[in-house]
Amino acid sequence: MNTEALQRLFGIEGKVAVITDSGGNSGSDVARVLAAAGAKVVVADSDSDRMQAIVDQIGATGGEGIAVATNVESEASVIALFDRVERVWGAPDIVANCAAMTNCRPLTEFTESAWDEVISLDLKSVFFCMREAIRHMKAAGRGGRIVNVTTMGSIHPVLNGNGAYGAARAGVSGLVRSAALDYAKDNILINNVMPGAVQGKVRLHPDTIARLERGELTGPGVDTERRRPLGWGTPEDIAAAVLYLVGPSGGYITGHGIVLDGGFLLS
Amino acid sequence: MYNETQIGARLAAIFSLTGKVAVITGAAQGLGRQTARLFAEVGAQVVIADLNLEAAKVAAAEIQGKGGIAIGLTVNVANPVSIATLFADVSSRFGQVDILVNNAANRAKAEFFDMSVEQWDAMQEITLRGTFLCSREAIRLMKAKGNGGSIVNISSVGSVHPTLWGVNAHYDAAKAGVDSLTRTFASEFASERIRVNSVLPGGMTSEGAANITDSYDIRGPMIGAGRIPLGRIADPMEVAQTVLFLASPAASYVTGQILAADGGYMVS
Repeated sequence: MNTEALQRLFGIEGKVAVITDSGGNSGSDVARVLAAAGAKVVVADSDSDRMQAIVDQIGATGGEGIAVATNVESEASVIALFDRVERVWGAPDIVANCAAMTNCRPLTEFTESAWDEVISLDLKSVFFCMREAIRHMKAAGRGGRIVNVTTMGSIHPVLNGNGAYGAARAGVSGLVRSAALDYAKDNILINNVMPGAVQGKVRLHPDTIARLERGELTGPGVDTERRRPLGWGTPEDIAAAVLYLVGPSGGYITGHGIVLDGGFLLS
Repeated sequence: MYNETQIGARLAAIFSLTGKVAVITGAAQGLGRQTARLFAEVGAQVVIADLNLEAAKVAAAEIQGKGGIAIGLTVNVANPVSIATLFADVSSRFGQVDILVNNAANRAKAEFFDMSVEQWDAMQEITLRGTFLCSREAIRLMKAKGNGGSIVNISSVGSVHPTLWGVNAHYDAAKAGVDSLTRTFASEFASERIRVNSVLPGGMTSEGAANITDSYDIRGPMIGAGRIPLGRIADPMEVAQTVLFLASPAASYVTGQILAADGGYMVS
């Protein structure tokens, strides 16, 4: 097997990749796979223990990674993150934004503060991370790749009571299209990966966890196998799509999304 | 830093086509040929099926010369008997079809107000019906083998967003039909682990298109400053890479999707 061809097509050896997350989403899987493909990874999360475990694991198997404690909802924290990356390894080549949380509650019961929480983490943090990434990439003049891991729920409801999350992530799609247009001339390519049924990869609001445990979560994506013809996706599916987009073979795709839904949208 | 062997092994696990038999139609030139080269490089056994058997054999020989596995066979995708013969031949030689790339298409342009019914029909027979018939044969074999499979249909951004005016109505309609087949087959055969997706190239250099010698007035939404934000037309190899992604294990949870490799055209 000619791995030389694979490295030419998909390898990101020596690239600086920043993976932002908010504890327990797909960031750890993305970081591991990007490191395995040769990148030097910066894991930026609020959960220090989890972050360090990922970085230690990458290091133990021969890869290269550092952890930078980051609150993606804080503008100052995100600015500091990218300044830190610049000092350590220079401007990033790749940025993958994986922070996510969802709160499922009937719209009639959704409070303003609950709404703001979802918008802050699921849309505004993406704005902060993209803005800083693009600032540094533009300044370095080498182009770059940005991928946001959002959700199929930005196109089609998966759960009942998930309007805030759907709105926030649809907002990310709009932001991505706009930024993709504006920064194409800088060779900065920006896309989304939108997973559907991948178990456990979006952090649930404690309220929602309680409802899940009481069997109260309903919606098109819940329970029925018929809506998931290919079964459940794996975290590796998410990471593989990110790796494809940020590597050499993703160089003509910008402003788009790759949906990983196992056929849900056509079920 | 991980060493080359570690990196290569991980990339192989995600993107390799080792052990897969891939049939690519219209693969003696252009995007089909680049896809064949690429698939062979990552381990597939490639069937280069083309109207021009000699050209298909030349393309296969080139791949063999570089250590890959490929054969050239003939197919006329406008002819149902020819398609049935192709797949019977592939089945008897290889025992399976894992991947089908429906790349064969009619690239002829025809001025809207002058287009003959024959020109319209030829476009649909080759581009849309050909994709339907080839997919059906492949799905039959995939179902029988029970090992799933991946079909990648070569569509066009013109399917969802017109690119040229006056000359492409029949082409864009056929490609929109191809995308519908993507959804229909993906929906029905997901339970058999047969994935079906479309790649939508935007501006792309292509021998197939260049071979159309009649000259037409090139005008339309894609023509004009800034309409391709990345500032360039794609080389077919770049689009072939997108086909590879969808055909590979990397995309094993992706089905029924259209993926545009368009340099930002659709957001311009």
